[in-house]
Amino acid sequence: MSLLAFLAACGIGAVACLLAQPSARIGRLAGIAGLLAAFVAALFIGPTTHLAVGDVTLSGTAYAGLFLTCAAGSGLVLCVVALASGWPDELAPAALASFAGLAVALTAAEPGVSLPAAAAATTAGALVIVRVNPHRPEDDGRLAEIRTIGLVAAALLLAVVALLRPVWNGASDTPVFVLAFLGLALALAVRGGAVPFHVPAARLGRSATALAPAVLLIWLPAGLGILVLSWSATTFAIQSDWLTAGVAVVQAVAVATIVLGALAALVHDEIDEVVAYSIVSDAGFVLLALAARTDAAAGPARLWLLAFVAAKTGLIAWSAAVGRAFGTTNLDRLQGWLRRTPMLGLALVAIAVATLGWPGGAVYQARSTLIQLALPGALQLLFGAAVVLSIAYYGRLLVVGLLSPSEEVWSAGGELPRWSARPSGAKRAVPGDTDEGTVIGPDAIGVDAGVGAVTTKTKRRGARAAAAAAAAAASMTQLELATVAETTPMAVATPPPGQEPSLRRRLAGIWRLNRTVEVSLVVLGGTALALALAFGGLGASAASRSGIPLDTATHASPAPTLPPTPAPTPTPAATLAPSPTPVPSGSAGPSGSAGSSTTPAL
Amino acid sequence: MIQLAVVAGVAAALGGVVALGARDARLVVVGLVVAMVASPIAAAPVPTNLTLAFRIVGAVLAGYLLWVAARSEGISSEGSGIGILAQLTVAGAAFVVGWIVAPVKPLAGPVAAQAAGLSLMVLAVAPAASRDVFRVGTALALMTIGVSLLLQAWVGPASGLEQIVLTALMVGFVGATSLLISSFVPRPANALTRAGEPDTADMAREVAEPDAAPSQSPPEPKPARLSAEKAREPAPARARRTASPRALRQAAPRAPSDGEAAIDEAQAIPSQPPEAPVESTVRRLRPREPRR
Repeated sequence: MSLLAFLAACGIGAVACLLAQPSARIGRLAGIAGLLAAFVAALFIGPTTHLAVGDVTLSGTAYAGLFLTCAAGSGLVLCVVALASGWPDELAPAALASFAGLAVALTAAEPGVSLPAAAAATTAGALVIVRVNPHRPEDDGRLAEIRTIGLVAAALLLAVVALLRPVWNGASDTPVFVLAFLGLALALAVRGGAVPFHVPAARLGRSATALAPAVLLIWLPAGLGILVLSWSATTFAIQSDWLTAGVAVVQAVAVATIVLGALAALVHDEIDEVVAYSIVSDAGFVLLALAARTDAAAGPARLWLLAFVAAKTGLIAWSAAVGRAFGTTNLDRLQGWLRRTPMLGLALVAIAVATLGWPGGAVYQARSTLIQLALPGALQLLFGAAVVLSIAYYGRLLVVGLLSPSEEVWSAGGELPRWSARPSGAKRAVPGDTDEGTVIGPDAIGVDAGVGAVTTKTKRRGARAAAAAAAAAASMTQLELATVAETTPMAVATPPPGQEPSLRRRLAGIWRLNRTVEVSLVVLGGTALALALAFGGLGASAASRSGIPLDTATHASPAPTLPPTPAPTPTPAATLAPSPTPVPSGSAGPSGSAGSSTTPAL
Repeated sequence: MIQLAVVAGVAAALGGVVALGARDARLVVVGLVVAMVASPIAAAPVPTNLTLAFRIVGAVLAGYLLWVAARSEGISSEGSGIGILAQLTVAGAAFVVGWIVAPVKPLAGPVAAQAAGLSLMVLAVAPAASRDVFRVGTALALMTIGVSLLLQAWVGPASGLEQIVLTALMVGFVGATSLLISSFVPRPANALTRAGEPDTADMAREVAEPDAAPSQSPPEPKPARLSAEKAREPAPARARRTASPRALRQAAPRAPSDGEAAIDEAQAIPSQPPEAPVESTVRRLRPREPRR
């Protein structure tokens, strides 16, 4: 019943969001309500959850329920942040539609249902792609997105063919498994933005709506990763030279993604690019889990994916909150941000800890285990390199925040609570100081815009005037951050002459004046969820060991066997090469397949 | 007697040829819908009524989404690069090869599904590398249909839930294509704008003047600060004042009441506004040195 409720909440919420788009308020309400309903329904998805659709039964597990809860909760946090930082109309329907597809994929026990459902979920990503600048073709992400969707769909459907194992009319079906393995890895790499498919991911800040990386780079790749891992230790654990070569390719892509992604996050100056590369880098660990081909990697990978979803969504929320507070996402202009918004600094530290873990912590052990199982000994130092590079780019963000504040940071309001209508940053916005080279903060815009608003007679007319003034001022300064919600308090909190403001209006004004601190608190709450998951809390450790119904189904089915290779002449060279030994049925445990995974392949 | 699956397989392949060979968006949509409707019949000669109805409704919905997007944007496809006859020949050859070869033995589904699936996949390979989003989306949708046909030919007929999921995939894919060919969504008013990017006013101007070259409509120099009087200025008047001359001329006949004023204002504004220096946008966004 809870699964049906989750699917209904996602489906109805997505359709309602799309239909209600002409009305911004109803669209936002439908999106928040749909995500909230999905979050509550996902809380009740567990091992006893079943939903029969014809002759196929969708079955919940503890991990599927926790993942969907984590995803829906992260989406809810992000949408609440988006209410203040700029609501992208397409985010909520895209999130809900992708969650519905992932829910079917994660609860179905048949590859013929789960993989096409995951492919259908991927199509929701098109909702958040927009053509933001017709004059710059390199920022047009539409072609890359439609190709990504097509590639993922075709790869997943072809993988279904191999995984369902028809009776091939050939001597060996090893090439089919190699193609299926590479197809699944390709789908995961392309959707996750792994190197060398990282360019569209890095340009999402220009080619997609705000906060779109959460859908395209976090939730969808994480769901795909959980599915792909189901066959890693069973179907793809066969010994084959071709498969070993394919694994080597996946290992190389994973290592390049982890290292180069972190390096790119270190050198870029735009926060959204730093965030995108940070996500891409950490998504490389899922490819490592696929390359490991052992059950010992499945549990850590599932735990890592839970922390990945929560922490990286928190990072996107953090970047949105910083951009909203200071009106810029450029690190050069964000000097001193930590002094003005210490709670966001605390959230960034929490995100870093949730991503990297702590020695002895669950996520730390999970990342370490994945590298140990997937890479040969010579490349074990990748773990240390990944940690150092990640600390470097997180540290750079924090160091920039401790520098002397820039003009934008000075003019912003910060997290200090404000009880009057006049913001502290307004003192630094000198009237007439908006010549070339000046970028004024959102609060200053609000003050200027409020000049024409407070003279109006009624609240409604004042709000309209404030909105018009805010829109014009925003387009004039190219900053465009003065939302109606920020300028309205000037009209709401300032009563008509000779009239005392009512308590309700005063509270509403104070509430809107303190948006920065409210957004920071929401971000902090989201990172607290990530921290809890990263240390194995909320049942994450236990749920990660259980997996999804596909894991049970693949382990129950017999593992593929290769035909014995006849040795024509017993030569000394033949004895040196390891003869392919079929994996016995049901022996897909760690001991049985870890040997193949740790064989040096690079 | 010719089996229904064979007829459906041929129809699916022909639908693919039409969808990828036609320039008119309506023909593209018709071809795509034919392929989507014929594919379940080719894969399972006697599908259940509910399954068939679901697939047909899904195909019609997907076709409607694509048709609406293509019609509203006035989009047409690039058409076949090699000619419709050559494309027909390629599809026929792939169909025959798919009919003859037997990579899976015994075949779990009809051989017509395998032939049609291979034909659609071969047809879609080259257009998938195009630069036209409409054509790429159509080709990849046909490729997905082809792969689903191969899947059902080699593994067996799909279950009810598989049919639902495949239909959702088709609708989602074609819906994504329709979104991407029609997407021109200005950023929200409170979105961040980075250095070198045009603001939403530029994009709104682009909507008003789709044919104008970028060099012909440089950004107008903006006032330093919006005064209270201008802030209280009615929105239509402000729009007339800030709109480009061409947009005003186009809007003039549609609004008889404001037409004369609009034309007067349009004549008052020079048709070729003075070109602003290129670095003006960058200079406007460059941060000032913090005051000591």
